[in-house]
Amino acid sequence: MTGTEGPALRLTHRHGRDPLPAGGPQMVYTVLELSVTGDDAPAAPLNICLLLDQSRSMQGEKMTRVREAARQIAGELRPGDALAVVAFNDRATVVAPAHLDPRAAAIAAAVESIMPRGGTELAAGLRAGLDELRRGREMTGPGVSSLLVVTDGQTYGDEPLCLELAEQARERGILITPLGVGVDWNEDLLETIARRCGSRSEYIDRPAALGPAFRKHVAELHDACGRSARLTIEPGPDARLAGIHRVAPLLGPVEPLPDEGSGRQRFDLGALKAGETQALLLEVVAPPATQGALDLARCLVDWEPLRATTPPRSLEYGIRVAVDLRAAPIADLDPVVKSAVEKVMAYKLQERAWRDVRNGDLAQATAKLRMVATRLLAAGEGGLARTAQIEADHLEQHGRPSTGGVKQIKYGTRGLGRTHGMPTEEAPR
Amino acid sequence: MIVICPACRAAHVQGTLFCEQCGGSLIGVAAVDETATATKSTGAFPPAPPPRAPAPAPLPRSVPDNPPSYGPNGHTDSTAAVDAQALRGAAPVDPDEETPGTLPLAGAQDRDSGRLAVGSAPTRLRVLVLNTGRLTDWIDDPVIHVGRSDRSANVFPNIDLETDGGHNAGVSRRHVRISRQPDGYYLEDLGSINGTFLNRRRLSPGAPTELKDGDEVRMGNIVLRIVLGGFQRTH
Repeated sequence: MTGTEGPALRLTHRHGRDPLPAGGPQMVYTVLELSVTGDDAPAAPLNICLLLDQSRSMQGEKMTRVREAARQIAGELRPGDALAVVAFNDRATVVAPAHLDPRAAAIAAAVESIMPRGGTELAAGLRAGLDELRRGREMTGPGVSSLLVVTDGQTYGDEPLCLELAEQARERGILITPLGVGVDWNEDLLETIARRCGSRSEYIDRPAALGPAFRKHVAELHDACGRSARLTIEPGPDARLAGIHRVAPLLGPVEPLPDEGSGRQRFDLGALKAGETQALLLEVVAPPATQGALDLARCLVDWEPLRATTPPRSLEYGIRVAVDLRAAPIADLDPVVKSAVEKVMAYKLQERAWRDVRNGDLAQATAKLRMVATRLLAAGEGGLARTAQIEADHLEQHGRPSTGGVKQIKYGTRGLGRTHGMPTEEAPR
Repeated sequence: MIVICPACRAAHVQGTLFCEQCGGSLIGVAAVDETATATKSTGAFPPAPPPRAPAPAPLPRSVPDNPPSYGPNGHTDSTAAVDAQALRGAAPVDPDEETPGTLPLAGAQDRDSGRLAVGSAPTRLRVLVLNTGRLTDWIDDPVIHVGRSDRSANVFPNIDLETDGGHNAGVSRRHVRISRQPDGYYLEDLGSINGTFLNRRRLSPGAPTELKDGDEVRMGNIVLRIVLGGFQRTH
């Protein structure tokens, strides 16, 4: 089903059941997809700051790989892009100030000077990194500003300040993308920082994966064509928005924005990339209805195009569903929507399982992880299902998660968004 | 109308696919009249407005009476399931019914009332061999034998665990039988040497026991997870 089309942004939706059976109230699952099309303007200039953890734990292969990756990034920038490098441990050091069209050799020499020592205080690094991005923006003009953070450890005592700085970054349209190396970093904090400004964190399971992660990040930034995308949802008469989750490109929560009243709810969708589809799962409780069409919600997407000197744009989109007295209560489910619901459920369950672990309720956590395995299995994700099952067994036997188990499952379920829309074997017969 | 999770008895709005409380599947679970089952409500469900005619084409900018507030994960508080035990006012589930320390698995049977009068039954099945990660294809045979193949004895079960190390793991050639009945699948131990455990409870040989989506079946040292699919309506 295709709806109103804007100059570049396209919205479509599909319902889990269509038509709905008469009666109610009832839950309606709808996948809303957003994509930007027809934008062939030149890429916006990039303004990147690498924020590198230089604490003692980064010694060895991790720092070697970081240096290599930083050199590569400098080589992949385009004319008009700016790059800065900041290192942090107990304090922040500007290793290479923001510079337009930096030479790879100069960046290489700068990162070679980084010597791992001391602890990890992320807030100091974030502050210095944001300052460098401000200088970089003066050189590049409007474009994409990104703070790429590489860390392998926990920061202590400055978490609230880190979140405050993330808020400031969002207000300035800066994306903070943390790359966590190994198993000792705080994924809750880093993911929250990323989400606050419409970005996401990445789990780097081995130092050798740093180079590809850097390259992917730069490529994605080059593809960016819109920023500060915000979704406003106003449920239809007597309808209620019960939940919203992102299903693609990566699965996870959608960051809510302060309520503007009038029954509307707003969400931060972050950057829009050319050729990428963002999919959201809406859970709407529809009011009782008998026959005809039901207005479920009205959506409004505001965003700022990056590649053209055009003002912010917005697109309105209505979501309706048919109601049919003759529709069977147990109707065939749309396989894409069902798979999305199944994956979101797996994601939510694993989040709750880790919360149970933190609360000391291992029995509940184990049971939830087993259910994660079931849901993943039904969604055709056998490999990750087995990982969840093994983790449940480990938790039961040892009373604690395995090393890396939390991150493997958390980021593994998040990666399920990559298979969104693909046919599964669970299609109704 | 609401649906009650057969596993944990949390109540949900009709049409909900998975239990918000335990993650169990609600697909095929028939909706019941909340007034018929409820003795008290937690208030999580707003009173249902009367059925109304379809809305006009343009979306009016109406203001709901109680706009929900968002939690940290982007879900409204009202997504949380209702404790159906409170709704029903019935006696709590006997904890001995389930493996101590674990939640009931997906689709575990509502043992108080049996199957609901109108529901749906699975028509196909697949298993994940947890030891090896092997996922079988969907099987829709009415009778499925699980064991390990033995050419000399001319035994070829539908689900052959020989390649998963079944011999060393203590799986019998004819270990269990899974039969599809009008109301669902049933698991029966065929007198195996090392026995069969369903959700960690040993089955008596020759006694078919209903199998639910997400159940864990241990045969010797091989552990299987069951996935049911192809739900069709039953009356």
